Amino acid sequence: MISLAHWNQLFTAGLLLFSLMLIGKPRLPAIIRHFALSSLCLAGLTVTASLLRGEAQGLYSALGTFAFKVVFIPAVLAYAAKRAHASMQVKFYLRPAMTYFAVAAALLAAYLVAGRFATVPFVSIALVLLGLSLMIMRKDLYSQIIGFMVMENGVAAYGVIAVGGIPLLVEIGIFLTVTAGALVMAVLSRHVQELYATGDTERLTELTE
Amino acid sequence: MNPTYLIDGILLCVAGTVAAAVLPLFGGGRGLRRLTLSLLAVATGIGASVGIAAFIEGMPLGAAPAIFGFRIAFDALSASFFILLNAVACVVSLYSIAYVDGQADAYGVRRLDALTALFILGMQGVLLATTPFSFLLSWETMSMSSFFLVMADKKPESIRAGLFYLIMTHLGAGAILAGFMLLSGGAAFASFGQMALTAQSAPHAIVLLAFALTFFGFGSKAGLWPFHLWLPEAHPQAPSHISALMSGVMLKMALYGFLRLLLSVFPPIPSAWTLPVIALGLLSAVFGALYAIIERDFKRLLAYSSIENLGLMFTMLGAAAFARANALPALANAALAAVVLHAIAHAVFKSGLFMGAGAIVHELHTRDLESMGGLAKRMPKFSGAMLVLALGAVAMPPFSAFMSEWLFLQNVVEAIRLSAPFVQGVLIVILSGVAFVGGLAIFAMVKMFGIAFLALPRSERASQAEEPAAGLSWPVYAMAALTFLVGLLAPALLRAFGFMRETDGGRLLAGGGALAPSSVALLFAAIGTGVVLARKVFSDARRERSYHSWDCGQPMTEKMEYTATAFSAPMRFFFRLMLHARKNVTAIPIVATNPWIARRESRLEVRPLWMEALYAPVARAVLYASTQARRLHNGIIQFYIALILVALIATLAIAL
Amino acid sequence: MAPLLLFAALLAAAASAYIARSERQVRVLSFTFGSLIGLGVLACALSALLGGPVAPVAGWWHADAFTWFMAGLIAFVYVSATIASVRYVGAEHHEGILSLSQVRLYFGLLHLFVLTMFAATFADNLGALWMSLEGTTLATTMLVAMYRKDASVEAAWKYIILCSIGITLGLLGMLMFVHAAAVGAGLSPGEALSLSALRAHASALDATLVRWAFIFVFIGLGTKVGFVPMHAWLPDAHSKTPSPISAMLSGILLNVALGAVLRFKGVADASLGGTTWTNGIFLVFGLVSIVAAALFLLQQRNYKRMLAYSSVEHMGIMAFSIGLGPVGLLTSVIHMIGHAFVKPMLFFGAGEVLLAYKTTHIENVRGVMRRLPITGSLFLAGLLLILAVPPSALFTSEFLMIGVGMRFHPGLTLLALVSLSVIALGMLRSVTSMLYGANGEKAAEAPERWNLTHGVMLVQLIAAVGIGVWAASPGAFRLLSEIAQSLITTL
Repeated sequence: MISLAHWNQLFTAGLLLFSLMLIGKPRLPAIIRHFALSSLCLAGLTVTASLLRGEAQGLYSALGTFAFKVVFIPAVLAYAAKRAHASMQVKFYLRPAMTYFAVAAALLAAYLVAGRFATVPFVSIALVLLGLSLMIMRKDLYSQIIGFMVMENGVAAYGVIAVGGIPLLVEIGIFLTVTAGALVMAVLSRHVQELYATGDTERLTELTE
Repeated sequence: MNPTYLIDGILLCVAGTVAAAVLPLFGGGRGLRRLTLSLLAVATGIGASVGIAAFIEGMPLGAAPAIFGFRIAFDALSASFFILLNAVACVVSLYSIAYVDGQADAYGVRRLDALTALFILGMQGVLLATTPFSFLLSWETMSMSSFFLVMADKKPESIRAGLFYLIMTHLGAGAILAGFMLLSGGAAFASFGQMALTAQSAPHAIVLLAFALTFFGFGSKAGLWPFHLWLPEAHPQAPSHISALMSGVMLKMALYGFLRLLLSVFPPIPSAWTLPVIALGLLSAVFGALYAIIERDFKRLLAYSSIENLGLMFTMLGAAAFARANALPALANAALAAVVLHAIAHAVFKSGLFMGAGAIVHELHTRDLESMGGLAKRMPKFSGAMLVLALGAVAMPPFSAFMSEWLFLQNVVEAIRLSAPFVQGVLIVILSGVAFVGGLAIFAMVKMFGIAFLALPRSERASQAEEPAAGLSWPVYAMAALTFLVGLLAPALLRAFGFMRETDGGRLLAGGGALAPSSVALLFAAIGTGVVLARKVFSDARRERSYHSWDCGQPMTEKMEYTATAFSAPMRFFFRLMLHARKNVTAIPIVATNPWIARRESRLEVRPLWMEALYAPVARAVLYASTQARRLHNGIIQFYIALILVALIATLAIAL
Repeated sequence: MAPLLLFAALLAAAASAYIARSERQVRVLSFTFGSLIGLGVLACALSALLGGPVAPVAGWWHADAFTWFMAGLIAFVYVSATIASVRYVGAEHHEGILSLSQVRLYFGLLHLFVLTMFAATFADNLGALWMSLEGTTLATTMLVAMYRKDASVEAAWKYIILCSIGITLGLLGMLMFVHAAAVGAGLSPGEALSLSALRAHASALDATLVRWAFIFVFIGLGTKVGFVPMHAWLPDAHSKTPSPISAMLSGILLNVALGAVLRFKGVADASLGGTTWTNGIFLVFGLVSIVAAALFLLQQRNYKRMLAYSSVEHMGIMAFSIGLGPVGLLTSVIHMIGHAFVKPMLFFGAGEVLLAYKTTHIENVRGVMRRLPITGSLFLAGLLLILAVPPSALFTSEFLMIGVGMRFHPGLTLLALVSLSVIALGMLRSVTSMLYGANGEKAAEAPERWNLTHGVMLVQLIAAVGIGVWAASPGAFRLLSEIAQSLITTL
């Protein structure tokens, strides 16, 4: 029988692992799928962490995570990308080897940060840095949205692991805000696709000094 | 006894100026314009009278009143500058009634009048201020309104000149503010008196920094070398009555500010600090005079002459501080008196010259000396007044500037006898420098007067010039008369201002020597009368025949005349190392076979050395930094995200 | 419950844009709602500020002197921006630039945007604060993308991505604060998610964690404030938005974000037992922003970007003053007022120029003084005020700032002073070429007529000057220091 603590570790590992895998994926659907999977682990983590704490409300929170981050946002992104006939192949600024090198650097940095505090969870710092590096290294719009969502997952993981028990109303508010953000980004990405016929941010470099 | 009418008078003066600044908002009609400028003249007239009355009453403004919550102060120093400012402003505003009418198509008249009043208001505020806050407030008002006045005609070159002026004056104001704040220990609303107390106990390094900053701030405003470059650009570009105010009065505000700090705020400063003041003063005087000699633009020439005169004033000021630091009280007092006297003298003759230049430019539609000439025949009375002013500018006796320079030099000579070797050396440098500048100034003014007023007209317009209208000419006459009067009354003025305590009768004293302006004037009058009488007696009017000049039967033309460029040639030759002036003569043959029959054009190029050595590298560096910074905005969002990440990491790394 | 009432009214205003039938009705309704709500809040704010201590509101919301001060500023800018929008959007609709649905979207989002700003100001709950701050971004993104042109969509994309990143980092920082409170003071997360609770238990927080938390909050929310180098979105977004919205973005949203950072500064200071550490961060970012803005402004080619960089500069000045200690805080309060009054005015003027010239490139705009004399004069006056020419309120604040600065950090202050000169040169150079330059422009068509926007600009001009004069009086000094104090002591 796997104990609750094991589940907890498993979900944490999954959260990080799927996010790591998503970085290397060159195809959009795969990226979205991995994001959904890592969010699923976050939902699971929410449940186990709150059970470990002996609270029940984590369940609702996990439900929210599931509904918004596992189902709704990935679906919206996949839909928007499909509607816009976005090229499913995304481009990198860096070669794959460099990409992994950057990811390793991010993880190392997160490890160093988390090492300074016993209570600051490694996974959330790592996710924030991974999200940022995803946004820096990729050239397409959807990766930026996903990168933002990965960062957001990292922050949520901080809330779940380190703080825990954030009031439901606040949780829901944050979910709604994040979802609204993702929606606005999706709508905007549609505009970009319409205007430029591409989802490549390289075209979005008109505004310079 | 505390005569409240003085305070009322000051309030009335300020209120009238404010009203004159506001009135043009209500319309640009001719009647309203006249009303505005007359109001301005009346207000400034009241201001000047109040200043004089304050001296007569013996400066009884013990309890300083407040305007809009700002306390005002009035002591001998500010009162004498207040008189100077308001008297000149009064004449200038009367002059501008006629002057601006004639230029209405070039300037937005309403804005011009309002800004003029604002400009004067700012200068009044500078003199009345008791705190750094109100001082800087007025200072900025003065600077910004004069910035707009410089570009009043909206021509591209005026705008360029205005912007150059703006950056210099803005940097200067910043330096002054920073210096004040160092002295006051950060107390923003402390008065100058309190500042003096904090400054007493401030560390030496802080006082030195404050001294350097304020010297830069005031020095750049006064047009000291090497911060003077904006001045010959900005002053001539402004309408002439504004040039008169800027050169005649605004520069004195810088002088006043520095004097005020030296006299009542700074703790006694060491002798070494005054040497840069003296050095920059002398260098400005020399370079100002040299450039005035080679300049061919009437108003620019006058602007360079202002640099020269301000240089002299700062030399005197530096000498006063130097003398004080070296325990030579007699020289210190005399030099201070000379500064104030010279400031008044310069304000009078320079504003007169600029107003005269305005009238001439109005008549001839050019500022180029090479297109003038022969004006003395066309406008004899006016030219006479200009001659008087020019003589005033070269410190000829019996005019006012002579008195100040005599007072100064005589005391320096006296002090040389008494002092230690090093001090002697410095004083000798000052003495020879001032004397040298005096010679150069004569050269410049002779050139100005000779080329513009004598000989044959060099252009169509010059040959048809008429005496300027009364509104334009009588302010110049008034200034000419004042130049003489100030010289005559110099001892009385200085005694009243409290700079010369031990005077006897109407004489300036210097160590063992004394000089009575009235006897100088009498002497000159006697010589003049003698010459006229002698000519009457000894010349035989019947045998004198008036005929045009003989030139071997050829007609005389203006092409044969000495030009302004040629006139300055010896000076350009002697000082070519300092001036970097270059004359290019290009010959274009008219007859292809004969190279001697050619049309020659000469162009005179003056490249200020320090423009390339000092200003250009700074400008290039700033522009380079700006260009590099702009490259940060490359439009790539990933780069921007990376910047955020870098900022985060850097802050974490540094701050923790 | 007062904040909730206000939010409901603003929601109604937003809804009215979709209820109204014609474009005219949309504008009239928004005008009515906007002025009523705005003036109402302004009245409340003034009475709260002048009438003595204010009862803090319980629950998620709180109110102290600084809150009411900020709310008053928001209300002022709201009213003026609504009025200017009525004119601006009307003109663009008539020219066929904006469709009816876009007009509805415009006004709907305008009111929502104001709602989020009020919420961010009144929020005591960290969740509410975070939501409303992110809400300001979301509400304005579609406004930035309003014109559906290439560049405006690009600007909107950069805006939402960069600001969302910032806000997310900010959230991480806030959670770190909560974490520190949960660990150090034993508060439950629900209790700790409140600024007042954090503040009350500040001394029990772990200092190292608080430092980390503050840096995350500072960098995160600082992105929204527009500190260099996190400012990259700002000139893009502010220059591509319809001018009245640019006015709100520049004039007040940046202040709101800065206000939020200041709240956390209060907590961090109380926890660290001194202001030196946080002041250092403010000083550095303030100075960097001032210097960078000077470099960007020197060769600026786009007048709306010029105004945006000027906002970066002024945020830098505020941060620099804040970094100088208590007097500096007071100074920055004056500066906030001055900036919130003058910057919107300049954007309104820029909007009028844009309507007439159809371009934001400085080199294509010449002879504004002849073609649009009223706009030109008001714009010039505003420009002088923003450059801190007396009698601007900004002159008072910058004077005070330099006073304090020379005392504590003479070198840095001198650098800031030089930058201010460069900025004055850069901005005046650009603007004089716009106002007076003559480049083969056609003879003026109809002479410019006085319109609503000019009225608003004039009121702002007078207000900015009035505040400048008033701020030097003792009564003002008391009130302003009370506002500044509320950031330090009460919460």
